[in-house]
Amino acid sequence: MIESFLLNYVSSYYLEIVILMGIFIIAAISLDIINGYAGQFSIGHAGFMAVGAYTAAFLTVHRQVPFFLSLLAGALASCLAGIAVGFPALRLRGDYLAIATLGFAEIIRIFFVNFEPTGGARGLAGIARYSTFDWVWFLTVLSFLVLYFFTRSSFGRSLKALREDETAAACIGIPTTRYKVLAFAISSFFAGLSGGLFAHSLLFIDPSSFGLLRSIEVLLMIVLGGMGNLWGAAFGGAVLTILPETLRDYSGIMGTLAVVLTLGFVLAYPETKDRFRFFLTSFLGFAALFLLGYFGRNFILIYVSQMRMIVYSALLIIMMIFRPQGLIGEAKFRLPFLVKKDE
Amino acid sequence: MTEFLQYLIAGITAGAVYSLVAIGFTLIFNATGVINFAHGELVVFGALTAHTLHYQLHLPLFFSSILAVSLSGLLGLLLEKLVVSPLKNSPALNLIIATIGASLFLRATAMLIWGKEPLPYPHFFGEQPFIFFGIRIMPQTIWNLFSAFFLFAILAIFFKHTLIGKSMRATSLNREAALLMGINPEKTVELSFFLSALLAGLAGVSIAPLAMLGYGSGAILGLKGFASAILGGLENPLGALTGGLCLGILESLGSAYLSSGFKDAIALIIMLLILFFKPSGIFGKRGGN
Repeated sequence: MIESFLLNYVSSYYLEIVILMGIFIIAAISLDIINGYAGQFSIGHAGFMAVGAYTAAFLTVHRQVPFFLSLLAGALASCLAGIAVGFPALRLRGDYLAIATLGFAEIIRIFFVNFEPTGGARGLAGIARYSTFDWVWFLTVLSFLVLYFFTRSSFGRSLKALREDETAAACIGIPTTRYKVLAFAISSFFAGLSGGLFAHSLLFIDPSSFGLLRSIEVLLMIVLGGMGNLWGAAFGGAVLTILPETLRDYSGIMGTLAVVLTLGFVLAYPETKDRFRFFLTSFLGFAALFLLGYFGRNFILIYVSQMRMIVYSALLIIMMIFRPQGLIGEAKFRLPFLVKKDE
Repeated sequence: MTEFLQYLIAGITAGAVYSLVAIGFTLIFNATGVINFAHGELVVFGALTAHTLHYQLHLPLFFSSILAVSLSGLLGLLLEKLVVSPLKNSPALNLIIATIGASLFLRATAMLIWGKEPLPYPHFFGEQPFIFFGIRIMPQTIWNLFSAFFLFAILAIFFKHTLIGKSMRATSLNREAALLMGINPEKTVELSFFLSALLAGLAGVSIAPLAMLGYGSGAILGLKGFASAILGGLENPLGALTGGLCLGILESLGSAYLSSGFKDAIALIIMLLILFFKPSGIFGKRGGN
């Protein structure tokens, strides 16, 4: 409906990017519930997305189940997987939990490589394009609102308490294990939803779409935006969907670099008394960018396609060292007309 | 029977590899209390550097191996300086994210340098297998097994009976208290990263002849090395040794008699079971909680 209207103005290529953006925003905000709010560290999000994607796609392709029901089934299957993993895993401390979720996601991937009904390693093809702009963004906004109210409810506040100090949280009567499993269940439900939408937007899925790199991509989204803040996670999801696309051609690369540079200067010198240094460094930065653009054209075009992993990994490290709270941080954004002022 | 024994030998071969990787995990864990997610990539770096030194620069096998191991050690030191040290006052979670970033960075760099194909490395003692009662054993297997045992012995003595080893354990248990006792925690952590990267490099050049390593092999090697370490108990070098061997044998027998498609999953399932039900490992005392 809205999609056909939009297609009058933008090409279908841009529309696909916007659709993917919505899908990854759901993935990012759902991971934020575990990693940001509950303070548990999961790096197996791609595993849950895979369960959702394969369940939903199998149902629409091989069982002709209506799209919405398939999505729901995928999300529920992923939710069950989340509970199954959550119960034993959540007794574990940070880095052990990280490894456990990583191992779990890898097991899921290996399972789908060997599972013939969904095509095994060849992947599942012939998926119909049900993930239209309307569906995806309707569900994105809906997921955001649901999770938003979750995080502002007493449940959300308990999760934050649990993150800050588990013992203290238990002492004031928060059932820590049950809440952690619940957080895992909610998070994996929405991860499955985003996986189902993902499958019906790409029209082809194979186990390698849900590898370690995908998990880390989603992790980077919330690290970039700021953990423990749904707006930050959504921001990170949007940026990291657009970024690889803008890096495809030369003017896009230069534009992106300019934006990143400007943002970097603003973040590096927030105080006005640093104005002289600010102008000096920004002048030098843009001069360097100009020279790079003038002389480095061929070099950049050759290497940029291979640089994605390097950029992502460098971003992870740089964020952790210089801005661990994320670009946006745990700031107090509110939906002013829906929620009354902070207590 | 011969068939079974041959699978057993294959398992021990792989197990020695996992033990070598696991011992590096143990070392860092003992000294810093963190898990270095980039360890598998350091192993791969050692192997690929050795390949370049031997095949491109035509160094003799002995020197290319030694040099590659030393370069891995330096890389570990660099990793500590650039990634771990700036985060020494941050929450453990940030450090984990940063080492994950580092592992991805190393992997991408390896792809840019060495390309996507796995690269070979010659066997240390030739490729003529010993044959006992119809079972073939490669000399490299014996070498790997021997170095795993040797390193385990060295590390056990190092942590129990030397001043540096004891100060490493002290730093991991309580940084402030160690500082008050006159231990320099920064030097200790640096040293432990250097040593563990040396071990990673050694593991790399020992593994490379048996299984060609490519830029992406680090993740699964690291996971299995960690699985072995956790199987035996993370703080115990003996655990790393036996854990690796158990894992290798179980994996080999499992893929032979159950399903070869799930070969990689077997190690991971064992790891999850151990994490869920006995996170302190078979020989460990300290829990994962």
